[in-house]
Amino acid sequence: MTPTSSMALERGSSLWKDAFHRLQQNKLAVLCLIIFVFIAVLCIVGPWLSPYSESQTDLNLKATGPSKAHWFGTDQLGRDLLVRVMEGGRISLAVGLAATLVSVLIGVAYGATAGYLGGKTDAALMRIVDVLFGIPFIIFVILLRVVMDPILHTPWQKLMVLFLAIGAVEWLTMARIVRGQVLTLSKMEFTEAARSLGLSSRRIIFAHLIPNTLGPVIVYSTLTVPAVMLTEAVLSFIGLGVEPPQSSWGLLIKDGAAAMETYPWLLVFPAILFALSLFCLNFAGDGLRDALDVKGAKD
Amino acid sequence: MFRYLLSRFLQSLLVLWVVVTAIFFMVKATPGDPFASEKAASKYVIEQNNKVFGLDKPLLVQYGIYLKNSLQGEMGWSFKAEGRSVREIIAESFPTSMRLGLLALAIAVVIGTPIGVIAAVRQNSLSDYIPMSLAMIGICLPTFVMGPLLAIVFGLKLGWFNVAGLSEWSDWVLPATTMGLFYAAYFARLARAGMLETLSQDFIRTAKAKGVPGWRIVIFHALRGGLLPLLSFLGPAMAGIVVGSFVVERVFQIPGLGQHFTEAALNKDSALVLGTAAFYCAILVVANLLVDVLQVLLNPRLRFAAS
Repeated sequence: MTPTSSMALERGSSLWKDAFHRLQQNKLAVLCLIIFVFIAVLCIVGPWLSPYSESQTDLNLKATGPSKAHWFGTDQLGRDLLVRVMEGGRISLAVGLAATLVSVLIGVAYGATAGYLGGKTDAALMRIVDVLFGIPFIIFVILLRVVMDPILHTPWQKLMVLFLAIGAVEWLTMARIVRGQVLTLSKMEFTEAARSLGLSSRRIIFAHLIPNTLGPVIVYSTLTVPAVMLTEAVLSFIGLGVEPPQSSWGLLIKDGAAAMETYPWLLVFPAILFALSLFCLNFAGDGLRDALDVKGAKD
Repeated sequence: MFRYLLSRFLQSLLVLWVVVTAIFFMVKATPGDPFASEKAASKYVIEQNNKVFGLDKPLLVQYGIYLKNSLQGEMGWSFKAEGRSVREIIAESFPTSMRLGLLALAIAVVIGTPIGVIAAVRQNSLSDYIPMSLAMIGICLPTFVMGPLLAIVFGLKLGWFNVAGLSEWSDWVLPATTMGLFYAAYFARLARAGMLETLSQDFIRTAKAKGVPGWRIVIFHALRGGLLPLLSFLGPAMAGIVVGSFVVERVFQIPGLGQHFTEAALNKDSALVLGTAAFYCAILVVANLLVDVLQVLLNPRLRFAAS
């Protein structure tokens, strides 16, 4: 054993350091993570750097294929596709992250409460989750859009409803995972110590138990983001998600699919970016799961 | 076991009641009654719906009427399709969607399962890596990308199939494949994982030690246990196929229930949306119940746990 490694041993190694080390070994997962971050940064920063804007039309140009001036080509109104794809990516990623955040908040609070209280309360709370699992939620998201339409006026309000609705239906698996974790954690000595010190249940749940479930929560969130983005894209594709003038990858793919015979690039570029993002997020999530050694987060 | 099945059945009834009730109160809680605010609907249709739903009565009475209607499959009249009841529309278009969904499921099982099994048997070889990478790509290519791509290549470039409508038997091929390939990819992954786990168990080693030939082990010993995960995925897969039908029926212009549902949602045809949504929920709850029963029948471990 070399002196350096024995030093490292003495310093001890945290869960996160171990996990980071294991993640580094998984080349594919790291590559996927890098590609995804690259796409995300491109979408966020890109529109500011581009000489074109999303709504800027050039009717002389109309739909032309990729060129030096327009890397991804232009659409029927002569709008630069690259900028539109980046702007659409902003919305798709924003919906993905925001809805996932909503689902994490609900799922963690619910699962931790059930797991900590245990007994009959736990049984009842988890039975509710079982019941909810049997309900096809996308239908409810669509219903919500339809019945709330009279009171939604701006595109932003519609977007808010969209990600609140998606988030409100994606928390079930998260609740199950967190509950399982908390169930184990609440039988450990440190919880008992906290309890014997007279801490309130709320304090124990939020200050002691939830921070310890962070690993699985992060892993499962990484896998929730692509699921949410897919839902958003399906909704946008059938015309019940993001609406013009805003655009999202789902919406761009929809427009591209309509014009695919004559202007294939309108479909190809958004589809590639969308599929690549989902692919990378799924692989990175799988890698993180292996790195953090989380069980039960699979499918 | 009987008790378990009974409790599952009662639970399904509970889910149905929750769903139907949630739909009712969701509509009632939003300002602007969707039945009243519809401008484009004709007077006759509005009157009919008022009569069917008892909209002039107090809320709880309305709820009672609504529950009774739901039990009887009475769902009011469409706003847009003049003079047609929601029930009529569902009865007419659902068989198409169901046939499409079952075809897709069959394609998924027939393509996905063998690929997953072979990949598991030859783990870490090329016949594992190549199909599994393709499967991962398949999962990330949503139906609304796959559909147009298949339509371009096999419909327009090669001219083998029509790209829209349902007049010949060959018109079913592209939509069913579009929907099926996504699940084929999923099934392949599940079959591989399940088979890998089963193949590493003791009874397989015993069989090997006794000199049972490899193919016999796979087919007669491992397959049954290894494919059980597929069964539990059938429930979610059904739900996914419903959603897939929204997309695929739109891409290929198929007059199924999914098309009606999305059209109705876009047109704010409230009676049709609500009726169809309740119908979808009912179908999925029943499908989930069937999958559960099947699982208990085929999985001895669950059978013992249940009895």
